[in-house]
Amino acid sequence: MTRRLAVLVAAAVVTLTLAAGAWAAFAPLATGSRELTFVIPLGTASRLKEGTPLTVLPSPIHLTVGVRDVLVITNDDEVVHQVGPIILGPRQTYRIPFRRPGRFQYACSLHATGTLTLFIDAEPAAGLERLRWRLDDWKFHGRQQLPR
Amino acid sequence: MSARGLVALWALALAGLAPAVLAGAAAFRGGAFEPPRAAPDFALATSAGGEFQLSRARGKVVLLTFGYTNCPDVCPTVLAELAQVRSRLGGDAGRVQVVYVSVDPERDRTERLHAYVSIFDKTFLGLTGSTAQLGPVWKAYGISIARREIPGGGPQSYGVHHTASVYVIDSAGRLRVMAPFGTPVDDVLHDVRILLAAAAEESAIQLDRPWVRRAPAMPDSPSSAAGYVTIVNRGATPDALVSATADVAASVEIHETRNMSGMMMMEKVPKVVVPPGARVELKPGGYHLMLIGLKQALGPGQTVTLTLVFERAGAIKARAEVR
Repeated sequence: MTRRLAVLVAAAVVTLTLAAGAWAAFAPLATGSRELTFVIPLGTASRLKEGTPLTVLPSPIHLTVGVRDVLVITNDDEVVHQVGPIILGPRQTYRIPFRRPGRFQYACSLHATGTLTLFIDAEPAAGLERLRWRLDDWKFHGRQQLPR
Repeated sequence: MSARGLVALWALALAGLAPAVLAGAAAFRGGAFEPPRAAPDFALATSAGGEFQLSRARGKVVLLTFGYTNCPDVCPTVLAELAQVRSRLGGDAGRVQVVYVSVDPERDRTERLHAYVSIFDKTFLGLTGSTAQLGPVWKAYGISIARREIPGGGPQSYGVHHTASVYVIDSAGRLRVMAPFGTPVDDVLHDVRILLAAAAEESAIQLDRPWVRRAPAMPDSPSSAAGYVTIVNRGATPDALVSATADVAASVEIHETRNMSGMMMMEKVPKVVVPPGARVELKPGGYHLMLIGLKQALGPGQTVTLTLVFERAGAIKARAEVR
């Protein structure tokens, strides 16, 4: 009896896992927003002056055409900040949509390497690519977002 | 909820939606700054002789980019694309100014820069100066520059790595868009068109009470009619009416009626100047628009669409009533 139950439970788990995998691999990618937002928080300038090491932007940044393809950088600080070639006044936002895959490299003093790299990836095809995109998104997306 | 309440709610929902729809319609394809701020001003010597000051270019959309004449690949690409933008604008090309600021003052003298930018478009302005003059401009626009010697190439043999974005500055002098190198021509054109349309709306020129005098259709030869309007310049700079068109006429000319000791003379004039803060009335017995070659008879109650073109404000449409 218990053995039969165990087999049933195992079968159910396998079926559910396969179903979830199939969904992740084939369901169209849709996110609530196509924007990937980075915020330069209030007080960044004074923290930089104190010498506190800050990660304002990760590098590289990945965007995906058709899914998450709008980069938004907002300056919530009270002074002007420059991110690569983008100069943002206090409370100013730069919003740039990308419609084609590509790679952009900017000189950026905020990065230890001196460069900010931006990858615009092609929309992942249904199947393994889409499954991998979902896993990566789940793993890394949280880290691309900075606390507001 | 009552029917009236539902209608009120529906209206409220629509009103709430309107700004979102409008914002969507005006979405830029290059990277946009929100809210827009004044583009850093500068004055530099131009390749065409004289000086260019950004703040004096108000009324035009300025496409600003940085580069150098020895640039083998990136700069010619950007300039060729900007020439395409201008040519595809057609009649609106005159409302756009392309400005190319040197990142290589050592080699880019004005004559050399002039010859270089002219091969792309005769109206392009190349700006240069000393490093002391150019440095603050590069800094203000976040341009990073790195000189790289070409090994074994001699004393003047070097390349200059530089930011090659296109800065789009609106007719009010605000930096609206920074399009990175590689932004398709279509997208730059799209953004410029948004700004040209907005400039016409925000224009300092206002057209008041336009009307057209009734006219019959003549069986043997096309007839003409006179159009009148009051032009108000609320801006701080003089502007001038330079041409006009009408949907019902083959062509439109600007005329002035003069009373030469009792004899009424009608003369074609090249433009009507409207000083800042002034009202200029186009009225019977003075300036008027001559609608030539009417395509139909004009009777009271009909409306005619007039398009008046100003030197600074560009084309402005007005719906004129036939009286």
